[in-house]
Amino acid sequence: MQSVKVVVTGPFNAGKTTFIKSVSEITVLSTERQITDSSGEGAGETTVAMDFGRITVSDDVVLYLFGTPGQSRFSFMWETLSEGMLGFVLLVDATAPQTFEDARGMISFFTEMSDVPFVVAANKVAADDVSLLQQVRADLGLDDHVPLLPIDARDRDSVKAALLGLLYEILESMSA
Amino acid sequence: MALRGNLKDFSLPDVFQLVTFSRKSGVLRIKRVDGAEGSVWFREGDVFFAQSNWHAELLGERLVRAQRITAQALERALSLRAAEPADGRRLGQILVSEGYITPEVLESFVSEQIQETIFDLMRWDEGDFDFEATPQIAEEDIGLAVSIENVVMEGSRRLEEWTRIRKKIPSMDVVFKMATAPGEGTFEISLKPTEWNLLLLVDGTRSVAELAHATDHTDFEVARVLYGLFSAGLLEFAGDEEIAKLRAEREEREARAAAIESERKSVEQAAVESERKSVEQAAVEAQLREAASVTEPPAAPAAVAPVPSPPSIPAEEPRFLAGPASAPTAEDAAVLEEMMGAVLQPSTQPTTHVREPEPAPTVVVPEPEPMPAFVAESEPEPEPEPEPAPEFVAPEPEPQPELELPPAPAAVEPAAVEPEPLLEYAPAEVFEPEEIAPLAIPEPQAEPEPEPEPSTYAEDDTLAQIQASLAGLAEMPASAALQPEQTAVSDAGFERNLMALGLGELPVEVIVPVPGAPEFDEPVEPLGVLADEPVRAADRFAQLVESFDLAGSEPAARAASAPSSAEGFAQAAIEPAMSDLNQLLSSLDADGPAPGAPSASLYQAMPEATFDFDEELLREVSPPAPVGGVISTDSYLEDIAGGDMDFSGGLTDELSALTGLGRPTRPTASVNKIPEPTSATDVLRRDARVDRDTLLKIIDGIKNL
Repeated sequence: MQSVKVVVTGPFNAGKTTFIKSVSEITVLSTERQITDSSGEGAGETTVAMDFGRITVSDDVVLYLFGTPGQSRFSFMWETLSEGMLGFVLLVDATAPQTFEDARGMISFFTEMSDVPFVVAANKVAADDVSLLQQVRADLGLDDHVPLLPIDARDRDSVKAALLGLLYEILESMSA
Repeated sequence: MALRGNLKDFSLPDVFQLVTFSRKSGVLRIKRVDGAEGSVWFREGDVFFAQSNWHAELLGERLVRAQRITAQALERALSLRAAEPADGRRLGQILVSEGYITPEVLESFVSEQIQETIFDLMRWDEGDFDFEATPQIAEEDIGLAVSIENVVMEGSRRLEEWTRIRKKIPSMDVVFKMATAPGEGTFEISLKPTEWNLLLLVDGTRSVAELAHATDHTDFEVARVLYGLFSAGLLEFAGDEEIAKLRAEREEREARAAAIESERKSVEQAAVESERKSVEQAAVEAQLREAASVTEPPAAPAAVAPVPSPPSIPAEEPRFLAGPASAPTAEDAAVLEEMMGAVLQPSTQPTTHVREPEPAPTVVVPEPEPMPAFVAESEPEPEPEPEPAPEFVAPEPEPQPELELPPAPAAVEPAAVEPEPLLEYAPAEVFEPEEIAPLAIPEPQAEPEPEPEPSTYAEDDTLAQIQASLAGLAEMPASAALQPEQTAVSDAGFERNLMALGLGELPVEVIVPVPGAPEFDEPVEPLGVLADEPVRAADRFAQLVESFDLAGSEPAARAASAPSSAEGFAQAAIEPAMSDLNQLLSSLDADGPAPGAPSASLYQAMPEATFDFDEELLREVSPPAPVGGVISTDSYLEDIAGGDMDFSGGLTDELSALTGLGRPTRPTASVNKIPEPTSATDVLRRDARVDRDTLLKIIDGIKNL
């Protein structure tokens, strides 16, 4: 059984856990803790370690999804989580532009740390909302060749489309 | 007074307006030359009833179509109506009195019928009308009062729409068929259920009126839907020849279907008849056997129950009960745990293992309840061959409160005992303060007095005693030292899987601090432990004693609770270190302070966590928090490095593994700062084993999810 790894990263509260839960065939194993308003970053639960999902794509290949913690104080895990990954999905909440700066930093970090392809998934964006997508691309400073995919992290098909977009990018990088 | 005229001269809305304004009561009758008739009843200007024989749907049919009553109920009500005299109860009244519908339902349907009738009448372009004023019309009056203004307004809108529809559907006899070449725009048409249902019936044989009848809708509703479908390009007109041909085919189809249905019914009837005959035959046989049993009493019991029992049908079992439960497998959970171990390596090893009884002679396993440390009387099972106790073993059983070790759980095995300790960490426990607390040194608050109670040993004698005991320990044979625990061997295949994922890279670095590291599956020297080097344990313990002194604790007091064996030394050496690490990990679990907040706020935000550093001392030693709010690992290490304290080699390795210390480009853990990217030579690369075929397989797998 061959195991491959895809990392799902993104700023705090972008929806990474939901993203993985939408496609994982197992109950996503998460290490989450309640956060308080005192953190200044929102309320509810956040992933302090990682999310872990599995997709059995065939009899001999298993795809593992690793979600990184969004809060930058856990960024020391990023490198460890990223080792050996096929590629990564950077997930952003398109309705939270205040997190775009963190997303830019993550893109810079991961692209300079690794040579794997990646796609940017804009959560909470309608597929036909072209203007918002253009705004997100401009705010993130993405090059034109970087795929920017509108998704709904709660929707399985939408998440599948994002993963397929990443896999096609990887396939294209192999052909290059 | 009589009001007569023709709809060519006066439109129906004009007539309605005249009657309404004059507040008249009477009947307005409209008659066309083709025989269509309609009538509208007014009471003081308000409409209370209307009926028509033109495309009219009777009240009973409406109620049946709306599933308010059954066809049998309608049939019975109609029979009662037929038995009534001419001026007897009307159908609606019978349905109410028989309890089939409520008066409210009747009023609602009659009101709708009135409006639909008026809408139909307003579409008439010609016809003679005659208004007959009658003071009382009790026969048709059921108490309704429909505002004619609203009906006229809605009728006018429909009339306008109908005018537009008539431009494309000029007659109710028009026959549509499906378009043979729909336009490109039709590919994105979304249909409502009513439209889809109507589209299924458009086959080039049914006219608009027939479609309305088949779907139980009004002509207007059907024409409006067909107008939309026709405008969208889904429909087109059918020619006369084509209509005739299609109708012939349809009749043939229906005849064939009727024949098949008839044959099916005949077969079913034959089957029922056959079954009935078999039952009768069985009954006859039973009677014969019963008669025989009367003559032969002993054989009677065998002749009972002649009726054939129905074939037994096995109980259907839900599929989900037969299949295995789907849940994350142990391997999945283990992968997560291993990854957690790779990230947060040295944290919870002691809490994850249940220690087995070992033959180590001097090990004292504390009971779960708090107890004085190393009191021999409290041992649940005294060792059969006690090791010669060091001379500093506490002779008196009185516990020292401030020196009392916390209630260590049974799993007090140091992390280093495990051959591959990072593979055994439970990630969820890393962040549990309640799991960390028992291993921590008591809080500073637990020692209210700066000076502890006088120990039975002089302070200056303590180190000498420790040295003596360590010397004895150094002379111990290696077999007497702790051995790696044999029960905590992880699955080798799973570990290879981890290695394949790149998850095991970090732990290997930590576990093998020296060149010539063992292979992944080989037993690895435990972390910071003394499997075969008791001297290292002694040095470590001495260093720990010094570090405790720096932390504000009394060495003599510590020495009073010192272990009395090699394993005790190892445990004592690891527990404070683990306490430090647990404190560090607690800082990761706790909610971080707001950017710019001093680090002390983080310390105060964790009331459950225990610390072995004096809070005031921590504040003094810690440098001022940077603007970015460095909160965890870096500042902690800087605190340590800034003082005179130093950890042993094993502990330093563990801290380095956790924080990335020592790496050429380790990531920082600041709040606002994103880790600096690594240099070009350290670029991570994709899993080299994934080739193009594997990737295509993954893509297919994702597509088929």
